[in-house]
Amino acid sequence: MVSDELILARIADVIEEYNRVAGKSIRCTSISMGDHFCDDLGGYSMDLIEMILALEDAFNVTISEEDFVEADPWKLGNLVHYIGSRAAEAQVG
Amino acid sequence: MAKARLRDQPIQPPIDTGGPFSAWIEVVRRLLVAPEQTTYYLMVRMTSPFERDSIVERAYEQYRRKNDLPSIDGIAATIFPRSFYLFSCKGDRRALYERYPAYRTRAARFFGKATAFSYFDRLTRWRPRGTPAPVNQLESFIERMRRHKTKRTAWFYYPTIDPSRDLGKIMGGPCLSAIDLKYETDANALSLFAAYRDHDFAEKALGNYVGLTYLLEFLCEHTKTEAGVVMCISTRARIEGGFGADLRRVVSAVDTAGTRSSK
Repeated sequence: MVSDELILARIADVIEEYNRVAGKSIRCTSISMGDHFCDDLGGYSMDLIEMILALEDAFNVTISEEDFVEADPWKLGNLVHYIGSRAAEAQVG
Repeated sequence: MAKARLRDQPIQPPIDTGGPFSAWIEVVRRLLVAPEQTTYYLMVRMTSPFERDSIVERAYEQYRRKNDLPSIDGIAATIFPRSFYLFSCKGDRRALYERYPAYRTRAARFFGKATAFSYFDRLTRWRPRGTPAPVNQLESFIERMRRHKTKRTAWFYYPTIDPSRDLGKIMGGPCLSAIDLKYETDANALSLFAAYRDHDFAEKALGNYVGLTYLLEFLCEHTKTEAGVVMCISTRARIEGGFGADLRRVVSAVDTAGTRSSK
């Protein structure tokens, strides 16, 4: 079982690396489950997709586009729970 | 309001400026006083294509958020998907070509949208109906430059409009018709020229300008050339969608901030 804290920390790492490589300035420190990727962190939809692709690799999960829309991943808490549930399914499967 | 009749309009003097942000704000200034906020055959040159202007960027961002418009990089990515190239593809252009089609489809689906055409797709997988295989126009350019660039000045022209698909469209066809690349041997400089048949400066043009500079940056990297200029002709430039009042506020905010910073 992957903890929420671990996923959130990984998201922060991914954002930090993304900022460095792509020259972005999305907030990656002191992020919390209540943060909104756009309103609180300053990211856009293109950036969120890059996060998702990186998180797929990091947790060895595949994120379904249909589930993604339903999950409202702009809220970090939703994104963390979604990744966690996919990771748990992958472990069981 | 005066009609924007072509024959009644004087030919527009070109706008000569630094980067995409200053280019955009100068065009907006001109459109705000033009009949029907529309003008024709507008030529813009950016002599420092990678220059950013934080004052214009901030003012644009406020305007964009207020009106829920697409992000600059979201629009720019239709010309060159810079973040995907640098981050997911780790700056590997072969990976970019290979992974882009699936990425584009997924990116649209992630937000519940249909996949629209993209200029980058047409530049890297040019395939009019009936042709046997797609042509990667950008890679063809890079390869030719790598083989021949030291020998002579060179010029290239790559279409993004596809008559086999676009001729019948009344609405929704490509606004960017082609890009043209010029290489100057003595300066080892590569310049990019873009032709827009219809250019919306309320929602798209700033992202378009930025996308063109991203594309030039990529081409310079892989042909080991310096950036020359980005030039753009908008055969029709306009402020669409009733955004004139908000854009006046953007211009005013830029002028006020510029006055403050110069004091």
